[in-house]
Amino acid sequence: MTLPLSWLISFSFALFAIGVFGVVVRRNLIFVLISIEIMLNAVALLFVAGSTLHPGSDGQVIYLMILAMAGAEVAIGLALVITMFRRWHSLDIDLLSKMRG
Amino acid sequence: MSETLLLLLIPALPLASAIILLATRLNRLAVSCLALSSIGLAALAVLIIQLNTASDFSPIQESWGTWLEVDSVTLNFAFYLDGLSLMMISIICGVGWLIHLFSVAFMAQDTGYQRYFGYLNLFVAAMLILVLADNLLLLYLGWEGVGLCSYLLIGFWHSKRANNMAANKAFIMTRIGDTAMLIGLLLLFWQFGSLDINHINQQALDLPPNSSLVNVSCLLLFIGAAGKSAQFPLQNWLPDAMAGPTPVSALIHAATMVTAGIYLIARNATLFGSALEVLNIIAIVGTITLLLGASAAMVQSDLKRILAYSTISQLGYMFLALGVGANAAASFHLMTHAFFKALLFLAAGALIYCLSHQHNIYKMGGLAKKMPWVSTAFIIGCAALSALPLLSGFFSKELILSHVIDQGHPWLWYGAVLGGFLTAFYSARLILLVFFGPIQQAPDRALPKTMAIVMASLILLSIFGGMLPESITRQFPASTPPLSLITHYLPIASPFLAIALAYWCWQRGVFTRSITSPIQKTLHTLLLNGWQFDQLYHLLFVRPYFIITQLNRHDIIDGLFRGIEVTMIMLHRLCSKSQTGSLRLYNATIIVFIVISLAWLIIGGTTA
Repeated sequence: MTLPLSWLISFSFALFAIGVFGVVVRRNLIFVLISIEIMLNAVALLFVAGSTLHPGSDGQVIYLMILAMAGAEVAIGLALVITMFRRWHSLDIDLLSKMRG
Repeated sequence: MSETLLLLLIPALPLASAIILLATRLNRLAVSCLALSSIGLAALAVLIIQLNTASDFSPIQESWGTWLEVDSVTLNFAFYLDGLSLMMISIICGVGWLIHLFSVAFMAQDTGYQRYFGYLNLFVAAMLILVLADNLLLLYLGWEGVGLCSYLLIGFWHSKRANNMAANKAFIMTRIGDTAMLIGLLLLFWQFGSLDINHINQQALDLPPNSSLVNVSCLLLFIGAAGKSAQFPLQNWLPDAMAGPTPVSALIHAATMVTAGIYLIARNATLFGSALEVLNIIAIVGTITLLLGASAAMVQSDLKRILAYSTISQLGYMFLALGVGANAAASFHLMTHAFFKALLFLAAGALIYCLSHQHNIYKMGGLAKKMPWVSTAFIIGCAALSALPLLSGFFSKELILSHVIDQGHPWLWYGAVLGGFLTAFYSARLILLVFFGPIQQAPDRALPKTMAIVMASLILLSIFGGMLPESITRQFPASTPPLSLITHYLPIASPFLAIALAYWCWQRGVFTRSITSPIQKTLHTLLLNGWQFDQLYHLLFVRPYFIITQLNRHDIIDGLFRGIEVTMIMLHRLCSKSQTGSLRLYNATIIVFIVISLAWLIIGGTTA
């Protein structure tokens, strides 16, 4: 049995929306990073789902690239998180408003 | 040595000496030697030229080199010597040298000795450039140069505020005239396509008389001349210019610079000859000025101010002569006036020197016995000024008056004769108050020998200078018009009547009596302030100017630029408000924007 494509698209969209929502509302930097990961995964899922429609393995290849990119992103993001915690002893991104005005 | 080379040397020597004096530090002896020798050599060159050209004189033209070259117009540092400029350079170098010599004694104790001679040499150089200039622009260069030196020398003792104010006043008043003159020059250039004086005067011959453009440009030139020569209505800077050292007053404000206006008009005689309306204006202005100056001189108490008003009045005579077309008479009076007025000023300088800077004639008196030499000089100068027969001033003034009546201006003639009466009256008053009567202040310094020698030379010139020089008659054919009995003898008799009246007044103590009646008091104040022109100009120009500046103290035009600035600041505040620094707000904005654009694309895509 195969899942209908519309379900996959709807699921992917829902995941993306959750990620966006998280980025916008969360104040904790770690949760913001996790939300970005959710958004990346939503897009990756869409590529995998798309690859079933088209012959060939382009979708899977791009999924692997997104995975690698996500890994790199997490590495940099966590490094920034650590730096921020060292400096501010907090992970509240609203503290990072020194460039205001 | 050829005459052309000498001609080039005449202005170059004082100029070089002025540059050396102003740029280096020398001791007093070197300064005196340099200043005197430069003018002396120039005077020698003038003398050689005069001797060489005595028999056959033709105008000499020579150039230092090119000054400006624009399109088809070339202006040179070119000098032109004819009869008129020969007479002028003789006065400038001759009288100028005597005054330099006088200054050596007069300024001996002054700390600004070198600066003084630097300015004075620079003045002589500028004045020589003015009178020798071949084109009007070079003349204008000299014109501004003498104005600058006049400013520097009036304010020479610059630690006193009043002197600086007097210097500023002289500079600003003459600048009004200079501006008019510059416009006049440009109009002439526009009309004739050249600034060459001879070229312009040649072309003026072919013009129809009284063309409006020539009238306007001549009028503008005359305003320039009036500013420089202290004519009505730009006359009131000259009495204040007496703040400078007395030899400066003798050289600049009596003998040479103030006659530049007369020279300008005489030089362009042909051009002015085709502007008859302007000539009438010049004659009337001259008459007004001579009466105004003479009447104001009657009540002054400052020795130098009397002489200043007298100079204004005598310059008025010269303009009157120019106005009736008697250029020879005007130039002649210019020359004799240079002699006797320089003598009077130097004698006044000697008085002031010996009486330790006393200027008030009411505090002098009975000096004839104490200072016989100075009083002789003063009396001869005043006699020449009053045009007593056989002295130099007599011949030139008679010539002017005879031309005025001959040209059919009886009213101007009466004015000029009345002016002569007043001249003799104030001269007699001056002499009686200063040299006769009880002694009030004894001289505390002996007269230096140099001063005595200089005065002796000028006395000789004032007595025997009454011969119309040949160089002038060659330039302007002079005639002595026939005169009726009255027109001949009234001008001769009136100075004697005036002297008799002055003597009668003096004997009865009229000059020293305090004034009681209000009408007399008003008249006295009016004359003392030179017909209140200072006050009038203050009311007409200075006060409104201050009111305007008060109104505009926040600069209305600047408001426009300030508006731009304020708008920019407001826009900046608005933009910087959006930069909150909140990461979440940025994200939300980006997302909202992307969603809206995507929706736009999708909806647009479906409807298209």
